[in-house]
Amino acid sequence: MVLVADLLADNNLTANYFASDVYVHGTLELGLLENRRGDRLLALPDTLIRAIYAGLDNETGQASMLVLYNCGRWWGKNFYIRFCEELTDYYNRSVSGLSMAEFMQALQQCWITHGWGQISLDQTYQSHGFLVIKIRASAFIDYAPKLERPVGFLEMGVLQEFFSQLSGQTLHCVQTACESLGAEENCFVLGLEDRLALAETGVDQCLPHAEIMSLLLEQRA
Amino acid sequence: MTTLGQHIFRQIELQPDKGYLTAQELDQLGQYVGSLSDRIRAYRQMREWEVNLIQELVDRLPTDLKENSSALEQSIKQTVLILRYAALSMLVNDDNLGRRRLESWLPTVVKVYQTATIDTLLQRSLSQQLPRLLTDSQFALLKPALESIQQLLQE
Repeated sequence: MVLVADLLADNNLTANYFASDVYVHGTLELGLLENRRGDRLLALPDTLIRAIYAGLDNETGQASMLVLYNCGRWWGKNFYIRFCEELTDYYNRSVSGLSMAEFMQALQQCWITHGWGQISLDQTYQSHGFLVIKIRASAFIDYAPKLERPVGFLEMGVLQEFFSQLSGQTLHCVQTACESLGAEENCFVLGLEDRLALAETGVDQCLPHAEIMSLLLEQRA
Repeated sequence: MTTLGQHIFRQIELQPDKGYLTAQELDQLGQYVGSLSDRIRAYRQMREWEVNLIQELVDRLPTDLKENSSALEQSIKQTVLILRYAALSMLVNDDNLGRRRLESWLPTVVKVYQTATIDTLLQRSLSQQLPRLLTDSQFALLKPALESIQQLLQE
């Protein structure tokens, strides 16, 4: 016998924590935009993102990709901690108690609400030890300088750290398709570093995502 | 409380620098204000009867469905959420409020907790029982919001 009154004892039900219209708040008179916990949010002007790319390129040239990747890693590590903290507070239970689908839904909604694009998880190759993350309409890639290779360095770093922390393993990340090169979505492959070497080679040879994936799968056999 | 205000007035443009509200916008506002006391009565009714109403729906479920308690509990919580969102949508005249907030979330939890079968039964009897709790005009105000959230369960 299920008693509804017992289920509703604390009256709080959990739903879509990152839903845009409840997540973003603000005390606009004070110049503050905040999330629902009161942490400060910022709206980044696209000209600033462009300026960061241009400034880095001027000062560090080729190394700017590495700088961005490292910034992404730092961001990813802290983003993971904060993301879990927010979910734990909201659900009142540890993130490890959430299913992967619920966790990914929260991540997707979080990504959308912050205006970073649409992120999704492709689990096709999971049994082979590779996770594929796809991001559409990435702001960071949209404003990146066009190169003859994928340019989502910031996201590579973020995803690598985020999913390393999530899986408890040191993962590496390679971007295999990029909106800046005309791809429909940005693809990022995550896996152990030595098993991703072929992906790096594939990217250097400008191979498409699907071909790189079959190279990665073949190496196992 | 400001969030409620936003929803009611989001539909009309509050930009005096562009001029006065149009006749059409004033009509819209007038209709809303005219129905407001009915909306508040319906909302209060749903708030007061929430637990009893949902309990009644649960009691009517076939016995075999009551065995899977984790799916059942999740489905009950979803039903309560749907009811609360529909009630708020109705109160602030924003039929898509629930859909907007629950869109990506609800279909995910339905899959994860495999609540589809129980959801269908609970939602069907919710739609049947609500007209008994509300007047015809109140139910008509609630129905579009309720149905737009219920559709998420089919996705």
